[in-house]
Amino acid sequence: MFARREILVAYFFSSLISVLCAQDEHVRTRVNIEYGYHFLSFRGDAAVSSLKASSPMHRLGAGIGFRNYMILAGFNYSDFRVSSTGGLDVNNFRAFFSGADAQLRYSFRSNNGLSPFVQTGLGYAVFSSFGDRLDAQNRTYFAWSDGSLRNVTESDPGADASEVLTRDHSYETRLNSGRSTLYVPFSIGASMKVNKSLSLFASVQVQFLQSDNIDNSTAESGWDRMQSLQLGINLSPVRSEKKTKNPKVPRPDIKRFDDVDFDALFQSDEDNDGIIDYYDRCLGTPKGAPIDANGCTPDSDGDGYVDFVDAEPDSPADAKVDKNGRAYTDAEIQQQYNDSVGLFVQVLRKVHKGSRPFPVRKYIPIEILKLYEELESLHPEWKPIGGGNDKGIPAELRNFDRNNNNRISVHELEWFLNDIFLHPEGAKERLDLLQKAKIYVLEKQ
Amino acid sequence: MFGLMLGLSINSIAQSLRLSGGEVARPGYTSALKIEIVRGEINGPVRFAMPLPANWKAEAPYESREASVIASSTEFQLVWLDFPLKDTVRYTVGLRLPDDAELNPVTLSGSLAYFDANGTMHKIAPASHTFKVLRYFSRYQ
Repeated sequence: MFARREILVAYFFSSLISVLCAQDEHVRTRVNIEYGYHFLSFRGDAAVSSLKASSPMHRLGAGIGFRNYMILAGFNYSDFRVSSTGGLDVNNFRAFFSGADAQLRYSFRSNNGLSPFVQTGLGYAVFSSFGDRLDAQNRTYFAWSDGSLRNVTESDPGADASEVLTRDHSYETRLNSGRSTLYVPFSIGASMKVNKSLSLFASVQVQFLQSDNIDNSTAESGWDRMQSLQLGINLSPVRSEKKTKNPKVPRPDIKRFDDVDFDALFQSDEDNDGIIDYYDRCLGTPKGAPIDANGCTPDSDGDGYVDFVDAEPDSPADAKVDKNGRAYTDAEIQQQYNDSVGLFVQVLRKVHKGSRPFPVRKYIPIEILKLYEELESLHPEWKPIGGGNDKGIPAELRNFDRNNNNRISVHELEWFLNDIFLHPEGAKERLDLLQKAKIYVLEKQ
Repeated sequence: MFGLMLGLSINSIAQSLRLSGGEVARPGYTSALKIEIVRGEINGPVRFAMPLPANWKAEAPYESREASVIASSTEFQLVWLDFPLKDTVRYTVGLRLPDDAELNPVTLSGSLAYFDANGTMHKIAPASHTFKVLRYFSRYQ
């Protein structure tokens, strides 16, 4: 069966581990190692004011820091001796004290400079005590009322012949061994950063022991305690971040956003359209413009001009529109056609001194020619490119005119060619005929 | 001797066809397919044909190379009256997948034919490209 004390210690440490594991994955943590040197003072039962520890206590700890907190696990060791100054008692002793503890430190400032802190926790220690009860000749000390130590008691019949003994401080008598105790350390101190990974600290610490037996005396009520002034050094050699499943995913540097007012950011509505910027898909909506659920001004006809500024919000689908969003009329499109093709034809004819018939089509790239032919088919009243051939299609080429409009288009030539590929019988003659048709379309039509 | 070497050098550039594109195509979206033709000895009318899976649609080409596009519901065709005088002719076509396209890999195979000066039709080795049809893009797929 475990003693209640052991169960309590186990519960405490498991709780600490839970606290560590429950940290937010984005919290930056720091690994710390520290050493503390304690100027120890023991407060026991007998002649309290006259007992002084003469040895230091060493503490080695390691911990993880996050935000203003640091969780430390440490090991304490001391071989301290408590000597009587008055000689009235025989309770001088030497104690071997070994303890392990876990503590939580809270620093009031975590940036560079002086950082006051408080620290407390729970520890578990084992100790052994030895007393100086015999002198060098193994004679037992007896304290007399005159302050001396003698070899017999003051009431002994042979007291007149007693001898005054002198302490040899050998601590040869085992008082207790392997006893254990819980203890609660409490510290108040301050640390000072030297550089990014080194800091010094000083603190006043009291360890409240759950034992009254370190000095082997229970003369007074209350448990023993150890008080100390601690000077220490803290190393933080590794800065680490809690690992995530995917280490490639960048984690936000929380400190970088310390001065960001997220509340204001999430409530911002720059264009005052009622949709906060975080959800607004169209920032900068003009004041007074109607918006949809996404904060966007609708564009009913999809012409690229929102209804708010569209001179014609219901332009036909796929219509070509002007800079005001208004669809061009057929007359306007024809004018543009004449301005481009017509002017081009005029320039060519002028260069060739107005000779007719002139192979205007020959100078127009085939893909552009096809585009213009499509426009011509949509608008039969338009003047054909090249001016047309009043003599009509030669008899041998009339089969090319699939739509019987008395003209052969480039597209009709390609249909003819495609048919040759699909039915290659007599291809040679048909390809020659295709060549003649092409010359006719580009140079004579 | 020099002429023989030059002839061998010219003949070493063989006409060929290659299809390439993205690895993944998404139902309801358009994926680009690049058609690359090495001219080689081609000097005349040329026709490229590629059957399309059911309900796939060839959309307006991203760039034109003096070809005529003849797209039907079952086949995409390109016809050149005059094949461009370039060593390599490239053409890109957009293929729109139906919303309910099956999520299986689809292999598209294209063929190329041309006529020589004697009116004889030649076909060169067909080329193919496989799209993985996936609903969503993911680096884990």
